[in-house]
Amino acid sequence: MRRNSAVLASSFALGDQTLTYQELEARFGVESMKKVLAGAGIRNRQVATPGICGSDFAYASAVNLINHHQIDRESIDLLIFCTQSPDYFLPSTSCVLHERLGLAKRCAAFDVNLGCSQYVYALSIAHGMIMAGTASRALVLTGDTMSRTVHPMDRAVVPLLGDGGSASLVGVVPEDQGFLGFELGTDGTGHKYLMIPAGGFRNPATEAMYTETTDAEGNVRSQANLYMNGAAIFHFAISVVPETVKSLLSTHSLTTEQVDLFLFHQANKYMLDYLVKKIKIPRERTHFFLEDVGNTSGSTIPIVMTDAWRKNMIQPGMLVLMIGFGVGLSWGATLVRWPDSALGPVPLPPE
Amino acid sequence: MTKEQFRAEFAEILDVSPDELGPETILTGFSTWDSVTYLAVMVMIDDKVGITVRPDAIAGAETFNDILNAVAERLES
Repeated sequence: MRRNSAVLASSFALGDQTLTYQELEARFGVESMKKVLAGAGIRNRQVATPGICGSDFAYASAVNLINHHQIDRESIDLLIFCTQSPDYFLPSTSCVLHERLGLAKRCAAFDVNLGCSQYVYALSIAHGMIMAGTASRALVLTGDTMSRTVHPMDRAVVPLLGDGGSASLVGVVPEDQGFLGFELGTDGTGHKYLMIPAGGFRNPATEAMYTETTDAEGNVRSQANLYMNGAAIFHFAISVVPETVKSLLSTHSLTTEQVDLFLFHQANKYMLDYLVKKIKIPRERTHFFLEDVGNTSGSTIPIVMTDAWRKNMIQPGMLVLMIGFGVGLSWGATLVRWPDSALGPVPLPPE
Repeated sequence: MTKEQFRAEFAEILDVSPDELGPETILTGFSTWDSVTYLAVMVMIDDKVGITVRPDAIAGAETFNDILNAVAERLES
């Protein structure tokens, strides 16, 4: 029988420290934070404590998943770690995670350096490798500490970002279940809209790179900090997301009515509310999880997926559409028929 | 959508009266004209006028007329 692949289990971990609404009110003012809450829909955000890296969230999530579902570590033959805040420039942090997780030597491991689209890209790679017979059971991990990349006085980004990571088990399922397909895209002309300009090899870090500048709105940053052109990213999202959803559904001769759950990259509630309206999705067919979490970059989709799954919003047989979009500019969407053999999300630990 | 309807929608986003929006009104004169407002304007234009305006057309607008020019061809006179 021909096969397919699907997400079989998932887990996530968030930063231990809460950067609260009140703290940011004191830093940026009452009016600013009212706008952030009303606009982005983010009240508090979970950030990493000093010394914790994105890979640590991925590791914790993976260990929870492996232990809860009693996964044989020797059976994992593919590890993909998605991050834009790696432990080191080299080796790939996936190799470090390979050691920490005690995986078998006959296991491919590599990083995917993308942001908000990373999870869908990684699923497409895992799916492709499984369908080609190169792998059979994959751990797709995500993890970032983007809160560390921003200047503390950059009001445009500080209130938005949270830190966290996730783990997903991807494995073989029967042909009539699992991934129906993927649609991936890039617009490199937008690469400057969300970027850390200095510190790589194009603009090596020098003292000048750390010089702080203040923009017209009073936001402070240096070339070594994350810069985001919010309006440009917003404009990109409200164009690309509806087009991609329409295109992916059309490729598979489906309509929005036939999709049981839409899971969007959790960037900004105002944007998501508009996308839901524009694509004409009933609100009960989507899920939001960012008010007390923040935008965890590429981990938002596996995190919102796991939260929805824990709340029984995802059941075997349902058709789920996931779409990530952002830095690059890059985007990816997938349609998946949830498998009967899914092991389930790792539940929250008891209070 | 007519020009007057557009003026009313734009005024509502800025939390001002439509009468305060003349062709040469300088937008930076309003305390509510900021990068968060740009997003609301983009959504309003996308939703109500039916076009997606480049963000620099909004962020770079000096007067209300500059905004109107970005959407003029899609408005009824």
